[in-house]
Amino acid sequence: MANRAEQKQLWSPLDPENIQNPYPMYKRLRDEAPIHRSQTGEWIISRYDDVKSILKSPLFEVGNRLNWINRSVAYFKDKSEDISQISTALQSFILLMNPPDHTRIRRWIQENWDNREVENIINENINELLSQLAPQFEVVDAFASRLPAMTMTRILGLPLADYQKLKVLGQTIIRTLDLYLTYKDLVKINEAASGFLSYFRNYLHSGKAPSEGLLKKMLDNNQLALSEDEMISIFISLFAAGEETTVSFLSKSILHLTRQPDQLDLLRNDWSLSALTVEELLRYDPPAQLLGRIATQDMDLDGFKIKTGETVTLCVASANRDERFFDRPDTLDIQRNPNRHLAFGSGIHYCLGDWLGRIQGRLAIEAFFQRFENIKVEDNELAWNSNLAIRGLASLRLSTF
Amino acid sequence: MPAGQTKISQEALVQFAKEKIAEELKIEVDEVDTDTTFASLGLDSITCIFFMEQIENYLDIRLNPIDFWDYPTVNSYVLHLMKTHFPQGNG
Repeated sequence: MANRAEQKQLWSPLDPENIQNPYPMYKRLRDEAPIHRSQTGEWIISRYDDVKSILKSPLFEVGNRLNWINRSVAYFKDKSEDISQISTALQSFILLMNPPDHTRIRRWIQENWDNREVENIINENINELLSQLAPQFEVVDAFASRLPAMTMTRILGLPLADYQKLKVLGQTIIRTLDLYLTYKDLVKINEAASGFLSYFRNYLHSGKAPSEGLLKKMLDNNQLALSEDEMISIFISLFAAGEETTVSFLSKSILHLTRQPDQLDLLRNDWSLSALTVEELLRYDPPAQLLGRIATQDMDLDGFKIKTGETVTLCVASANRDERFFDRPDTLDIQRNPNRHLAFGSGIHYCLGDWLGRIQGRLAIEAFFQRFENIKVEDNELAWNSNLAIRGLASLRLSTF
Repeated sequence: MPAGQTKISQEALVQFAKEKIAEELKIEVDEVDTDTTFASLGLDSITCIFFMEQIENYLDIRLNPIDFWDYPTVNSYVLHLMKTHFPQGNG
């Protein structure tokens, strides 16, 4: 018994050492059990080729999480506990939807989106945030966590004063995608869902609805005849999906470049490398590390029998470090080209926010490192959020001089 | 293991876990085999949330949700809880 308890499971996503650095666990999985039936019953997939082929396969669907949430809501309703706001808020999350609804809603959002306008908004936000920084600051709170929420608030045309509140709601509700939750987590997520729903409902009925921006465009062009709650769920998803991931990406990008001065010097000498730098940072340490899929039929995967309804967890961060696909995978090389990483997935669910994530990353990295000549990481030990689904820093103290 | 209290607590915790599982599965407490995995008994990723919530409230502690799967029987789970939350001597 003692032996069993002391021996670490191959799949230990909540283990403190793995939270600090999950890459050794991913490597062990790739080498020892690339298709691993974990203790929790899910299949853990860690090699590049397998992850990519499942992402592209029509035999696997998203939505196991939404289905799971809906079943949880029903279960707790039986116990007279109401967490149904989560279901309402999540009903139109396209990252949890399958065709044909997925295709229709995705296209419709893209039609209402204006890249040039968004780029201006991002630049304004970056300048505003960077100009407020003292020589010493905590970059997650003072910069990384603010930029995506400010950007989405302005894109939607909502009052900028509301962005902090929306940021907190977005960060909480996205925890629905955490791998393993407690009941207390569900209660918190339900409160955030409720907060979001009433924010948008009040806003839409206040008579103060915005005169411009994405929210107005979507309301005006409601060809899909979406109900108010479906529409609100889409607005919520825009906040939720782009918040934590971008916070994670911005702060980790600043960390990795600061810690690898040879690469930072390359970039400083040639800013035209910034787009490639973003791709390499996305490969090297992607924000969304684990993606879930559900098997729609029984199948054989390299000799393993996967049954209908079973969940696979795709370790995209592991795929991005797979030595079978990438040369020197553990080296950050901002000139890596081509760079076919899977940070945004692949196939029909390829991240709708990839452009927004990339452009915020590129503009923020350029502005940040152009403003600060010398940067030092003040933390001796880094504080990571205890969630590998989206791997991010809890805080990062820097001094600049 | 001379610490009598620890032993009693461990037994009490096993008993509590058995009662909660029996309630959940609508079976007799004696039917809950403490060396059978939770999954084989009939608990799943949703029912375990409620199960753990009851243990958290009973003991006034916070649990790590994956421990349910890493220590997948009543006996191994309770032993793990005793080690991590009630180390010997404090029992």
